[in-house]
Amino acid sequence: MRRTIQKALAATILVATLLIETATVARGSDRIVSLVPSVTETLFALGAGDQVVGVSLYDDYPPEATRLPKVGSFLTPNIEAIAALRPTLVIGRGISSNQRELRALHSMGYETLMVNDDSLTQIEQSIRLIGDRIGKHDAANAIVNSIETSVSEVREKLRAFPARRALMLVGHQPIVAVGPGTYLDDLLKIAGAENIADASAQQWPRLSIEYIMAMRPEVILDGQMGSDPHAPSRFWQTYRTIPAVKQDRVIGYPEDPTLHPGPRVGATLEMLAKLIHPEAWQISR
Amino acid sequence: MSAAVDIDRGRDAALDAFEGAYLTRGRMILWLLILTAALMVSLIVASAFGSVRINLIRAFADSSSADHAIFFGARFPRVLMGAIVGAVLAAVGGALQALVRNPLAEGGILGISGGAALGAIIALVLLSRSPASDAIVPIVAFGSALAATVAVYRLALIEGRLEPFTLLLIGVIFNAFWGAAIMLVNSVVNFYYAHSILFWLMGSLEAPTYREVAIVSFFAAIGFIVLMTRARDMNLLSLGDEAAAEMGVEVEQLRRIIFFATSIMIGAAVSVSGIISFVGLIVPHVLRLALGADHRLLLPASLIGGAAFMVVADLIARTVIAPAELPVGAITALCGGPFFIYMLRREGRRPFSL
Repeated sequence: MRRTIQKALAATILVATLLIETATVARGSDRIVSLVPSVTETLFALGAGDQVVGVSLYDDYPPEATRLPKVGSFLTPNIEAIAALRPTLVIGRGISSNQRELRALHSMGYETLMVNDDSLTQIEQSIRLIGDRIGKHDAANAIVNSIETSVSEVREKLRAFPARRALMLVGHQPIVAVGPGTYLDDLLKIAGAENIADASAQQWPRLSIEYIMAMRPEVILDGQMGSDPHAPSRFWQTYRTIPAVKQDRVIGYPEDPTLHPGPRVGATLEMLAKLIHPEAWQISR
Repeated sequence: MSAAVDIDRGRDAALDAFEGAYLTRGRMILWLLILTAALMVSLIVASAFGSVRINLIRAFADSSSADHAIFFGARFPRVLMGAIVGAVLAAVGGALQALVRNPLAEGGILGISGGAALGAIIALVLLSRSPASDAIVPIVAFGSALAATVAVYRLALIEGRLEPFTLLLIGVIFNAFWGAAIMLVNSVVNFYYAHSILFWLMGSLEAPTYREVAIVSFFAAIGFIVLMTRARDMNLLSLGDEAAAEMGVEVEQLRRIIFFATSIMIGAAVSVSGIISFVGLIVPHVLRLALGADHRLLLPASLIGGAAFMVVADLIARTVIAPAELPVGAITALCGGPFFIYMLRREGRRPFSL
């Protein structure tokens, strides 16, 4: 009796293993679960979109990714949903990921890879790290090179223009700014901005309106105003002494791709530079 | 006719006895003056300090200076808004504690603020943070507060009577429900909304306009005047429903009036500041321990004391990690909790007397 059960069990395991292996071999590659929107984007940009089997709840780019199974996010990964996809690789975000869930995934035998995006350098490193892991070394290099090209083009373009005092907000209710130690702070600097939120010790400080009035930014990029760059906001009209308000330089920006620290970061940089220094592009035309 | 006069006379006699033990006109004026002085000091100090240093003399003398713009455009409306929101929360807490005859009552616990926050958050998400949301979200918050009020009221009404205990339980359940609904919204929407959702949950006074200050003051004034006309009846209510009814109080009507007056006040405050906890609990309690339980003194004292407390709490929120700021709701809870427990322990023998 006992031997029969053991045999049956062994046979089941063998068959299951074979099935899984054939499935893997048939695809000839990894089965990747991405817990971060920018990682999904990186995978698709590397030409590994067909290896992605699960994405985060927040994924919105590229459109193909939105049709894939959702497995929670880097904050709240759903272990069962991830396991059901039989991944060979789970990619999460280094700092803010849910460490307990990741440990659980690790102890279940799934390979996990953590990437970071707190600076432009970290974004480039992450793209390289992912590229190396999935055998797309050259594609990763190409993406990083294109980002670097954008950086040098923007730098070149703005060489003659002095930095503008600027403030970039996630939104104005509450007033949450892009602070030091974020990739957006890096982009702002390259885009010819002097970020007035750098005086704060936090990455995403809640600034007071008093402070903004005292620092007199010449440009305010306000994410709450949405993708229409010139959407008027009644909120700012109350504070007309701020140069950016007086000169009508309070500008909206789209969440996508701005808040995606992935392969399109070069395009984000160019967009920010044009919003902060429009004259640099008009002069060259 | 003469029976009614007799009831009035009996009621006045009972009130006189009540007052004789606790309150004289002189004592009332003295305390209100002391509290007003404290409020004035807090207003001046809070106006003088902020996340940036400004020259106050220039702010008043030169209307074209940056100091003038910062003081009158940003700091002063915020200090005023803090005072009004604090006044509303504390006065409402004092009145609701009399209404349900329970020391734990405050605007938050009846589920009104939570309803307002949920409405605001849903509006924010549906409008996908378009410029129009600035104007619409506070209106939706106010509407949701009133809708939550009606819902709580209707559900707590048993055979036409507003039972304090049921009311409190319904409020607690509503709060848990709102909290869950907000978390649900939070987990399905994009994480760019996280800050906005936290804004409503932790409360903040940032960047109010004079218009908002005026609107909230208007509702606060109406509600407070209604409450003050019922202050004597609230005293009698603390003797128990039957005793109050015997002395001529229309208990049911009184409860309804207090409930709706406080709802309007809370709704207006929450619509601009989000949920700021503990003020409605701690201020009336501390003042009750210090001044006694006569609502004719307790309500105005809570109004003034709440204003002073909130102005100071917001000063801390604005300045500790400047130029960044903290949610003022976190400050009120952090200062309020330990202080409240200290007061209760010190008082020892009658910790929860109403």
